[in-house]
Amino acid sequence: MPRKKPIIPSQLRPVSLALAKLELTKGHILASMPCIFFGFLLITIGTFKPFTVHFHPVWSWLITGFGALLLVRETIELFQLRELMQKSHEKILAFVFGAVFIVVLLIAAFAVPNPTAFQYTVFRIVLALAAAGVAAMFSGFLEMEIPKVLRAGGALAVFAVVYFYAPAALEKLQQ
Amino acid sequence: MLSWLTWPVDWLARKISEPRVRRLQAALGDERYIDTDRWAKLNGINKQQAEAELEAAAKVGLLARMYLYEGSDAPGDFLVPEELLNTPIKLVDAGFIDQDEDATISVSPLRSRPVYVDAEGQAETEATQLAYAT
Repeated sequence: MPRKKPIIPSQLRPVSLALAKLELTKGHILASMPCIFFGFLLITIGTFKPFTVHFHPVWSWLITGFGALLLVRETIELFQLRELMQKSHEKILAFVFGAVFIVVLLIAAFAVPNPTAFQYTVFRIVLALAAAGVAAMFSGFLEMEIPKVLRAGGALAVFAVVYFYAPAALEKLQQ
Repeated sequence: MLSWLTWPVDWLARKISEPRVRRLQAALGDERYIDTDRWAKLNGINKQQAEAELEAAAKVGLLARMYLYEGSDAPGDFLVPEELLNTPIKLVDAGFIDQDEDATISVSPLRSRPVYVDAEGQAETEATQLAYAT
Protein backbone atom coordinates (compact mmCIF):
# COMPACT_ATOMS: atom_id res chain seq x y z
CA MET A 1 0.00 0.00 0.00
CA PRO A 2 1.54 3.37 -0.96
CA ARG A 3 2.36 5.74 1.86
CA LYS A 4 0.23 8.87 1.71
CA LYS A 5 1.47 10.94 4.66
CA PRO A 6 4.71 12.69 5.54
CA ILE A 7 6.63 10.80 8.17
CA ILE A 8 9.87 11.03 10.16
CA PRO A 9 12.28 8.16 9.39
CA SER A 10 12.39 6.86 12.98
CA GLN A 11 8.70 5.97 12.74
CA LEU A 12 9.37 3.52 9.94
CA ARG A 13 10.44 -0.09 10.18
CA PRO A 14 14.07 -0.79 9.25
CA VAL A 15 14.28 -1.03 5.48
CA SER A 16 16.39 -4.20 5.78
CA LEU A 17 13.19 -6.13 6.61
CA ALA A 18 11.67 -5.29 3.23
CA LEU A 19 14.98 -5.85 1.48
CA ALA A 20 15.25 -9.27 3.12
CA LYS A 21 11.85 -10.11 1.61
CA LEU A 22 13.12 -8.85 -1.74
CA GLU A 23 16.19 -11.10 -1.50
CA LEU A 24 14.00 -14.07 -0.53
CA THR A 25 11.81 -13.43 -3.57
CA LYS A 26 14.87 -13.24 -5.80
CA GLY A 27 16.04 -16.50 -4.22
CA HIS A 28 12.64 -17.97 -5.07
CA ILE A 29 13.06 -16.99 -8.72
CA LEU A 30 16.43 -18.76 -8.83
CA ALA A 31 15.09 -21.80 -6.95
CA SER A 32 12.18 -22.14 -9.38
CA MET A 33 14.47 -22.71 -12.34
CA PRO A 34 15.98 -26.06 -11.31
CA CYS A 35 12.46 -27.14 -10.30
CA ILE A 36 11.16 -26.35 -13.79
CA PHE A 37 14.08 -28.33 -15.22
CA PHE A 38 13.37 -31.20 -12.83
CA GLY A 39 9.66 -31.11 -13.75
CA PHE A 40 10.52 -31.36 -17.45
CA LEU A 41 12.93 -34.19 -16.74
CA LEU A 42 10.27 -36.14 -14.82
CA ILE A 43 7.74 -35.67 -17.63
CA THR A 44 10.32 -36.88 -20.15
CA ILE A 45 11.20 -39.91 -18.03
CA GLY A 46 7.55 -40.69 -17.30
CA THR A 47 6.59 -40.62 -20.99
CA PHE A 48 9.73 -42.29 -22.39
CA LYS A 49 8.35 -45.64 -23.53
CA PRO A 50 11.65 -47.62 -23.78
CA PHE A 51 12.18 -46.82 -20.11
CA THR A 52 8.65 -47.10 -18.73
CA VAL A 53 7.94 -50.54 -20.25
CA HIS A 54 10.05 -52.02 -17.46
CA PHE A 55 7.73 -50.66 -14.74
CA HIS A 56 4.07 -50.83 -13.80
CA PRO A 57 2.07 -48.15 -15.77
CA VAL A 58 1.10 -46.48 -12.47
CA TRP A 59 4.69 -45.37 -12.00
CA SER A 60 4.69 -43.73 -15.41
CA TRP A 61 1.52 -41.78 -14.51
CA LEU A 62 2.88 -40.84 -11.09
CA ILE A 63 6.22 -39.58 -12.40
CA THR A 64 4.60 -37.67 -15.28
CA GLY A 65 1.91 -36.21 -13.00
CA PHE A 66 4.42 -35.09 -10.38
CA GLY A 67 6.61 -33.54 -13.07
CA ALA A 68 3.66 -31.72 -14.66
CA LEU A 69 2.49 -30.42 -11.27
CA LEU A 70 5.96 -29.15 -10.44
CA LEU A 71 6.41 -27.56 -13.85
CA VAL A 72 3.02 -25.82 -13.92
CA ARG A 73 3.26 -24.59 -10.35
CA GLU A 74 6.74 -23.15 -10.70
CA THR A 75 5.94 -21.58 -14.07
CA ILE A 76 2.91 -19.82 -12.53
CA GLU A 77 5.06 -18.74 -9.59
CA LEU A 78 7.70 -17.32 -11.94
CA PHE A 79 5.02 -15.53 -13.95
CA GLN A 80 3.78 -13.86 -10.77
CA LEU A 81 7.29 -12.77 -9.84
CA ARG A 82 8.22 -11.58 -13.33
CA GLU A 83 8.33 -7.93 -12.17
CA LEU A 84 11.35 -8.77 -10.04
CA MET A 85 13.16 -10.80 -12.66
CA GLN A 86 16.46 -9.30 -13.70
CA LYS A 87 18.10 -9.67 -17.09
CA SER A 88 20.41 -12.34 -15.65
CA HIS A 89 17.39 -14.33 -14.36
CA GLU A 90 15.74 -14.13 -17.76
CA LYS A 91 18.90 -15.41 -19.41
CA ILE A 92 19.20 -18.32 -16.98
CA LEU A 93 15.52 -19.19 -17.55
CA ALA A 94 15.98 -19.11 -21.34
CA PHE A 95 19.04 -21.34 -20.93
CA VAL A 96 17.11 -23.82 -18.74
CA PHE A 97 14.25 -24.03 -21.27
CA GLY A 98 16.75 -24.32 -24.13
CA ALA A 99 18.69 -27.09 -22.40
CA VAL A 100 15.47 -28.95 -21.58
CA PHE A 101 14.22 -28.85 -25.16
CA ILE A 102 17.58 -29.96 -26.53
CA VAL A 103 17.48 -32.97 -24.17
CA VAL A 104 13.89 -33.68 -25.27
CA LEU A 105 14.91 -33.49 -28.93
CA LEU A 106 17.88 -35.80 -28.36
CA ILE A 107 15.49 -38.32 -26.85
CA ALA A 108 13.05 -37.73 -29.72
CA ALA A 109 15.83 -38.35 -32.24
CA PHE A 110 16.22 -41.88 -30.87
CA ALA A 111 12.54 -42.47 -30.21
CA VAL A 112 11.43 -41.23 -33.69
CA PRO A 113 14.20 -42.27 -36.10
CA ASN A 114 12.04 -41.74 -39.22
CA PRO A 115 10.04 -38.55 -38.70
CA THR A 116 7.35 -37.45 -41.11
CA ALA A 117 7.69 -34.11 -42.91
CA PHE A 118 5.49 -32.49 -40.30
CA GLN A 119 7.45 -33.99 -37.39
CA TYR A 120 10.71 -32.87 -38.99
CA THR A 121 9.44 -29.28 -39.30
CA VAL A 122 8.30 -29.26 -35.67
CA PHE A 123 11.66 -30.68 -34.50
CA ARG A 124 13.48 -28.01 -36.48
CA ILE A 125 11.43 -25.17 -35.02
CA VAL A 126 11.80 -26.48 -31.48
CA LEU A 127 15.53 -27.07 -31.97
CA ALA A 128 15.96 -23.50 -33.28
CA LEU A 129 14.09 -22.11 -30.27
CA ALA A 130 16.10 -24.27 -27.86
CA ALA A 131 19.39 -23.24 -29.42
CA ALA A 132 18.34 -19.59 -29.18
CA GLY A 133 17.51 -20.11 -25.50
CA VAL A 134 20.93 -21.62 -24.81
CA ALA A 135 22.58 -18.83 -26.83
CA ALA A 136 20.80 -16.21 -24.70
CA MET A 137 23.39 -16.97 -22.02
CA PHE A 138 26.09 -15.81 -24.40
CA SER A 139 24.30 -12.94 -26.12
CA GLY A 140 26.45 -10.78 -28.36
CA PHE A 141 28.81 -13.57 -29.35
CA LEU A 142 27.22 -13.98 -32.75
CA GLU A 143 25.72 -11.58 -35.26
CA MET A 144 24.22 -12.45 -38.60
CA GLU A 145 23.21 -10.34 -41.55
CA ILE A 146 21.62 -11.18 -44.87
CA PRO A 147 21.64 -7.79 -46.65
CA LYS A 148 18.17 -6.28 -47.06
CA VAL A 149 16.58 -9.48 -45.71
CA LEU A 150 17.57 -10.19 -42.15
CA ARG A 151 19.69 -8.72 -39.40
CA ALA A 152 19.87 -10.66 -36.14
CA GLY A 153 22.03 -10.50 -33.05
CA GLY A 154 22.74 -12.94 -30.24
CA ALA A 155 19.98 -15.45 -29.58
CA LEU A 156 17.95 -14.37 -32.58
CA ALA A 157 20.94 -14.99 -34.85
CA VAL A 158 21.29 -18.51 -33.49
CA PHE A 159 17.59 -19.11 -34.12
CA ALA A 160 17.98 -17.87 -37.70
CA VAL A 161 21.08 -19.98 -38.36
CA VAL A 162 19.56 -23.18 -36.96
CA TYR A 163 16.20 -22.65 -38.64
CA PHE A 164 17.27 -21.45 -42.09
CA TYR A 165 20.51 -23.37 -42.52
CA ALA A 166 19.36 -26.82 -41.46
CA PRO A 167 22.53 -28.87 -41.81
CA ALA A 168 20.97 -32.30 -41.84
CA ALA A 169 17.83 -32.03 -43.92
CA LEU A 170 16.57 -35.50 -44.69
CA GLU A 171 17.17 -36.63 -48.23
CA LYS A 172 13.71 -38.07 -48.46
CA LEU A 173 12.18 -34.75 -47.42
CA GLN A 174 14.31 -32.82 -49.91
CA GLN A 175 12.99 -34.99 -52.71
CA MET B 1 -2.64 -28.45 -0.42
CA LEU B 2 0.49 -28.09 -2.49
CA SER B 3 2.74 -27.30 0.46
CA TRP B 4 4.50 -30.67 0.16
CA LEU B 5 5.44 -29.57 -3.33
CA THR B 6 6.49 -26.05 -2.40
CA TRP B 7 8.66 -26.72 0.64
CA PRO B 8 11.71 -27.86 -1.34
CA VAL B 9 11.49 -24.66 -3.42
CA ASP B 10 11.04 -22.53 -0.29
CA TRP B 11 13.93 -24.30 1.40
CA LEU B 12 16.15 -23.79 -1.64
CA ALA B 13 15.11 -20.12 -1.90
CA ARG B 14 15.97 -19.59 1.79
CA LYS B 15 19.33 -21.31 1.32
CA ILE B 16 20.12 -19.13 -1.71
CA SER B 17 19.09 -15.83 -0.13
CA GLU B 18 20.22 -16.40 3.48
CA PRO B 19 23.86 -15.23 3.10
CA ARG B 20 22.77 -12.13 1.17
CA VAL B 21 20.09 -11.27 3.72
CA ARG B 22 22.60 -11.60 6.55
CA ARG B 23 25.09 -9.40 4.71
CA LEU B 24 22.40 -6.80 4.01
CA GLN B 25 21.22 -6.71 7.61
CA ALA B 26 24.79 -6.31 8.81
CA ALA B 27 25.43 -3.48 6.35
CA LEU B 28 22.18 -1.60 6.84
CA GLY B 29 21.52 -2.23 10.51
CA ASP B 30 18.64 -0.04 11.68
CA GLU B 31 18.52 2.29 8.68
CA ARG B 32 15.00 3.26 7.72
CA TYR B 33 15.54 4.08 4.06
CA ILE B 34 17.87 3.29 1.21
CA ASP B 35 18.78 5.19 -1.95
CA THR B 36 19.90 3.90 -5.33
CA ASP B 37 23.58 4.77 -4.75
CA ARG B 38 23.70 2.68 -1.58
CA TRP B 39 21.85 -0.23 -3.17
CA ALA B 40 24.16 -0.11 -6.18
CA LYS B 41 27.22 -0.16 -3.93
CA LEU B 42 25.87 -3.00 -1.78
CA ASN B 43 25.15 -5.16 -4.83
CA GLY B 44 28.06 -4.18 -7.03
CA ILE B 45 25.76 -3.00 -9.82
CA ASN B 46 25.40 0.32 -11.63
CA LYS B 47 22.95 3.05 -10.66
CA GLN B 48 20.46 2.31 -13.46
CA GLN B 49 20.29 -1.37 -12.50
CA ALA B 50 19.88 -0.45 -8.83
CA GLU B 51 17.08 1.96 -9.64
CA ALA B 52 15.33 -0.62 -11.82
CA GLU B 53 15.56 -3.19 -9.03
CA LEU B 54 14.24 -0.87 -6.35
CA GLU B 55 11.45 0.38 -8.62
CA ALA B 56 10.44 -3.22 -9.33
CA ALA B 57 10.32 -3.90 -5.59
CA ALA B 58 8.17 -0.78 -5.18
CA LYS B 59 5.90 -1.99 -7.96
CA VAL B 60 5.25 -5.31 -6.23
CA GLY B 61 4.58 -3.53 -2.92
CA LEU B 62 7.69 -4.46 -0.93
CA LEU B 63 9.14 -0.96 -0.91
CA ALA B 64 7.65 2.51 -1.25
CA ARG B 65 9.33 5.46 -2.91
CA MET B 66 9.37 8.66 -0.83
CA TYR B 67 11.30 11.91 -0.91
CA LEU B 68 13.71 12.68 1.92
CA TYR B 69 13.81 16.29 3.03
CA GLU B 70 17.05 17.23 4.76
CA GLY B 71 16.68 21.05 4.81
CA SER B 72 17.97 23.04 7.78
CA ASP B 73 14.63 24.85 8.20
CA ALA B 74 13.01 21.69 9.58
CA PRO B 75 13.75 20.35 13.06
CA GLY B 76 14.88 17.08 11.49
CA ASP B 77 14.77 14.99 8.32
CA PHE B 78 11.43 13.72 7.16
CA LEU B 79 9.95 11.82 4.24
CA VAL B 80 7.11 12.85 1.97
CA PRO B 81 5.24 10.85 -0.67
CA GLU B 82 5.48 12.04 -4.27
CA GLU B 83 1.90 13.38 -4.23
CA LEU B 84 2.78 15.87 -1.52
CA LEU B 85 5.78 17.43 -3.27
CA ASN B 86 5.41 21.19 -3.77
CA THR B 87 2.54 21.40 -1.29
CA PRO B 88 2.81 23.00 2.17
CA ILE B 89 3.32 20.29 4.79
CA LYS B 90 2.59 20.90 8.46
CA LEU B 91 5.55 19.83 10.58
CA VAL B 92 3.11 18.45 13.12
CA ASP B 93 1.70 16.13 10.44
CA ALA B 94 5.19 14.84 9.67
CA GLY B 95 5.58 13.75 13.31
CA PHE B 96 7.32 16.75 14.91
CA ILE B 97 4.75 17.03 17.65
CA ASP B 98 6.56 19.72 19.65
CA GLN B 99 6.41 22.22 16.76
CA ASP B 100 4.09 25.16 16.21
CA GLU B 101 0.87 23.79 14.75
CA ASP B 102 0.91 26.25 11.85
CA ALA B 103 4.57 25.79 10.89
CA THR B 104 4.71 24.47 7.34
CA ILE B 105 7.42 23.55 4.84
CA SER B 106 7.07 23.11 1.10
CA VAL B 107 9.17 20.23 -0.17
CA SER B 108 10.26 20.52 -3.78
CA PRO B 109 12.02 17.79 -5.79
CA LEU B 110 15.09 20.06 -5.91
CA ARG B 111 15.35 20.22 -2.14
CA SER B 112 14.77 16.53 -1.54
CA ARG B 113 16.00 13.20 -2.88
CA PRO B 114 14.16 9.99 -3.65
CA VAL B 115 14.67 7.11 -1.24
CA TYR B 116 12.95 3.76 -0.70
CA VAL B 117 11.33 2.67 2.55
CA ASP B 118 9.57 -0.43 3.83
CA ALA B 119 6.07 -0.29 2.36
CA GLU B 120 4.44 -2.04 5.28
CA GLY B 121 3.92 -1.26 8.93
CA GLN B 122 5.49 1.25 11.25
CA ALA B 123 8.05 0.89 14.00
CA GLU B 124 6.40 0.64 17.38
CA THR B 125 8.49 3.32 18.99
CA GLU B 126 7.55 5.72 21.73
CA ALA B 127 7.43 8.53 19.18
CA THR B 128 4.97 6.61 17.04
CA GLN B 129 2.71 5.87 19.96
CA LEU B 130 2.86 9.53 20.97
CA ALA B 131 2.15 10.63 17.42
CA TYR B 132 -0.87 8.32 17.33
CA ALA B 133 -2.06 9.66 20.68
CA THR B 134 -1.97 13.25 19.45
